[in-house]
Amino acid sequence: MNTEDRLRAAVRARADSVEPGPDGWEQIQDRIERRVHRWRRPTVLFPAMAAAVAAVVLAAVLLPADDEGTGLRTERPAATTPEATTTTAPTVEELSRAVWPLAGTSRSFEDPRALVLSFATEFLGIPSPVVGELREGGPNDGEIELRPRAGSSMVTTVLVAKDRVPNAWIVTGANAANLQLDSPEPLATISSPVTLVGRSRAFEATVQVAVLEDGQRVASGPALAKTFFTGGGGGAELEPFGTSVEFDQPVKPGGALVLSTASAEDGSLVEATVIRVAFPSADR
Amino acid sequence: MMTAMEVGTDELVDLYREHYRSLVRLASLLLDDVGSSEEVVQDAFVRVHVAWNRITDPSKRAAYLRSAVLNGARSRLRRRQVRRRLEPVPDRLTGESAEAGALVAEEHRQVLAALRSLPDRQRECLALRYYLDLSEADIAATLGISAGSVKTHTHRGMAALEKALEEDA
Repeated sequence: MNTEDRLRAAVRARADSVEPGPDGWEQIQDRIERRVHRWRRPTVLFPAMAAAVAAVVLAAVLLPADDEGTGLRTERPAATTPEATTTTAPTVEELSRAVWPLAGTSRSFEDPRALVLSFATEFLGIPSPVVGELREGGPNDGEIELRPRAGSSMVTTVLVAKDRVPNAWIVTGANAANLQLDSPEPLATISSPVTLVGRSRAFEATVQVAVLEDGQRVASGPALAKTFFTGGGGGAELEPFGTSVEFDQPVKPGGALVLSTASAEDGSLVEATVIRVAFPSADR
Repeated sequence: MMTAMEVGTDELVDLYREHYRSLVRLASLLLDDVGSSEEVVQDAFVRVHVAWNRITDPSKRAAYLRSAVLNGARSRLRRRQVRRRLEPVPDRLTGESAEAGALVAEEHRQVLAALRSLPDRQRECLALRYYLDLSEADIAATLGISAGSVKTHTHRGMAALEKALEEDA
């Protein structure tokens, strides 16, 4: 039996041995309802934002895009229509995937670990980061673990890829285990205010948010927005959050959205979730 | 007023009936327990529901669903890898549940272990091709890559699988 036949037989045997539980549909319904319910929890949201965010999200979840004439549509805040808040399809086809090095610079990195070290110190502002080994995901991408200091249990998984330029590595994003961002998704097109949904666990429940356009960094200098919200605390489980962040008018087509948490000891950044985002041309 | 579930419910039910079981089975090829596989697929259905109005072409919903399952499985594997590095636990790579273990022969277990040791894209291309029998075009649509890349990942994955099985022999 050749390898293809062996593989086919093995995956079919394994798959056929799996029988999902009978309550799958009920579980899905429950998850959808809980997702909506999550937005109704006033303690998760800034009180001043709660009403506006809930209206936007309920409208986004409940209404078809072409549902004209319903009562809810007239309640939707004009500046925060769900269509204007986020979409998953990037509208800027040629937008670089790179969060780092910054767009418009001539820097390039042949060594992915050197790239991540530069990303950690210059973009995130971590003074003494520890950079792990490259774990290859495929021929042109992989991930590298980043810790704020030796022996730290806080891990940011930095996603790296080889860009169009041969042998040049770029950072395409980063994921912190304690900062899970469900929405917006990477390469979403976002407008102000952007609605953030996910789960978090942080010291004193404080999650920092930065909205950056190309050329800006978390570490220093200007940003379209730098703020914070109250997410999950320091317990064992991640807690859901939902919040809305207003940011200044961008002039560049792309940028990054960064969630981060700070050290309880000295306030320095210890982990970050970073996604690449696009800004609609109408906003610029 | 409509409830959250009423948006596209009939079509979502159709998707569920047509794909739920096969997607849980697909996820079980990538993950090592049925419970996690079910959760990943249920989350994928929630994502499709949330994105319902943005997926204007109904024929693309199944691809979106498969893509969400693979992303969820990949994300879960990564979190699991990080957790294992921080808190070493006995390796469960080949440790399917006792229930499944009793059903899958040793030969199959070796092949599945080799499959799970492949890089993400190679593993996913092989699972989509050899379990779901998807075409290169459908795999490309699911993974968001070109058909040429699918061919490359599949070829390299099969070569790596063959090598791993030879070393085990």
